[in-house]
Amino acid sequence: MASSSSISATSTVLNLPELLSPILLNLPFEDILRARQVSQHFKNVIDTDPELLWDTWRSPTPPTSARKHLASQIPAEDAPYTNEISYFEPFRPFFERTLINIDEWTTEPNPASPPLRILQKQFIRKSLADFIAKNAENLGGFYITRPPLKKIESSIRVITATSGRRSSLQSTLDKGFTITNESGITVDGYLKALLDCLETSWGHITFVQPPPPKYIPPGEETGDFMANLRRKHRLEATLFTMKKEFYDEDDEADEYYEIDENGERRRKHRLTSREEWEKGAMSSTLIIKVHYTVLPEPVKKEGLLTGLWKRVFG
Amino acid sequence: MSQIILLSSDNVEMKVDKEVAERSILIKNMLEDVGETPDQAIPIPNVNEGVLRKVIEWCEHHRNDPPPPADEDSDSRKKSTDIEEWDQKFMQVDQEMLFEIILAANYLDIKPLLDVGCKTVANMIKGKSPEEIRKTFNIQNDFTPEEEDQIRRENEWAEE
Repeated sequence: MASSSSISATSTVLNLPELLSPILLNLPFEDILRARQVSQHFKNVIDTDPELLWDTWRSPTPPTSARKHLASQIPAEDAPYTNEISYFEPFRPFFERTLINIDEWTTEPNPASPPLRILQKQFIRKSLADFIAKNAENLGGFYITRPPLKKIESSIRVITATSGRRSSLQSTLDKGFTITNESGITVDGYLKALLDCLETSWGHITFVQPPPPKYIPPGEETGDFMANLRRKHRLEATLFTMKKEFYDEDDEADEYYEIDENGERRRKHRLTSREEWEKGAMSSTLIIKVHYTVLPEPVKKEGLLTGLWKRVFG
Repeated sequence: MSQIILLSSDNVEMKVDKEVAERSILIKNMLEDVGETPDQAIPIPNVNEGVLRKVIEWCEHHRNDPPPPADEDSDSRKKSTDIEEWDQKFMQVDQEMLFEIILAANYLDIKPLLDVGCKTVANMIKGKSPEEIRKTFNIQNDFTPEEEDQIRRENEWAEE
């Protein structure tokens, strides 16, 4: 298209927000945010497109609602999206992240090594168990909302039933659940639910799965450097939690109040995060992200002395 | 199997199976409006011969694919840059052709092809620094040094 034009197709595509947005939506959020530094246009699209805002957890409003809202608020000629409906700053996510564990291990090229997935699951289970046990007392009123995939909703229904407080939301495929100490949910129950969510959404976590190295039994090495690589794995579990300032509805700060026509101080008409969550509008508050990288590591060749030592002394 | 003729922007006629051409929602709707298979060529004014041939090649290969689900909200969409092997090979073209295909897919309303194109470009962006992205796509850095500093500060949390 437009090949005869002096404007290249590349710049045409990248200059159209409706095409740049779906391109960026395929990227992990670190890449999306990094792309804000490319140009003013990239930054504008990333900071105003409702879908990108939602996707990178920088807006509490799902894109469909955001678009509807914007359509009713903004005259058609004011085409670019604005983020007026959100009180979240576009560059500032409303969650903070806590690194809860890092683990590293090495797998040999031997096919008898334990499957990666089992190691990864064990790691996640242990990380979460440790973290939750340590923070059990602070878990009251903690939200987990907007899982990344619809698939997770079945797991969430289980929780809402367990918590006993959210039964009315079950029919609406609620976007999350609350755990509170008073509702009696146990750390074990919470952990199980979290793991269910994780395991159901396994496909969402990007694991770089390297092709399995071809195993060559000792003594049959052909000098193929790549064949006998060991692989080093690094896994980080990071917990993303909603910042307290964004869900604390009891905030008495002046900025949340206004003086009405009778001269009385009243709370500004703004949905609190809790209210938004109750209405199913709140997006996300807790996300677990697992990084997994593979570092090729060549098998060290035995020196003459080491080899001799091993042969003589075992 | 009934066939239709498509006319590229550079006036080249191409005979295509109707079923293949109907992978394009634009053409499908057009044919539905007309009601019967037209004898005359259907002009595709925004797409030249080379690009149209590529698009038809894609439609031929995917002629039996099920239609994409209607409900495609952001949560149901699997965020991924995985691309089928055949599509990967199909997209191994020069950068300008890749973007021409994206524009054509957008114009002709072929969502799955547009998705493959977008994923291919996303793969070109993935893991790159802003400077590398600019270099790849020949984008001008129009930030002032102060603005660059500001954005870097805003992004610090993500770069930890």
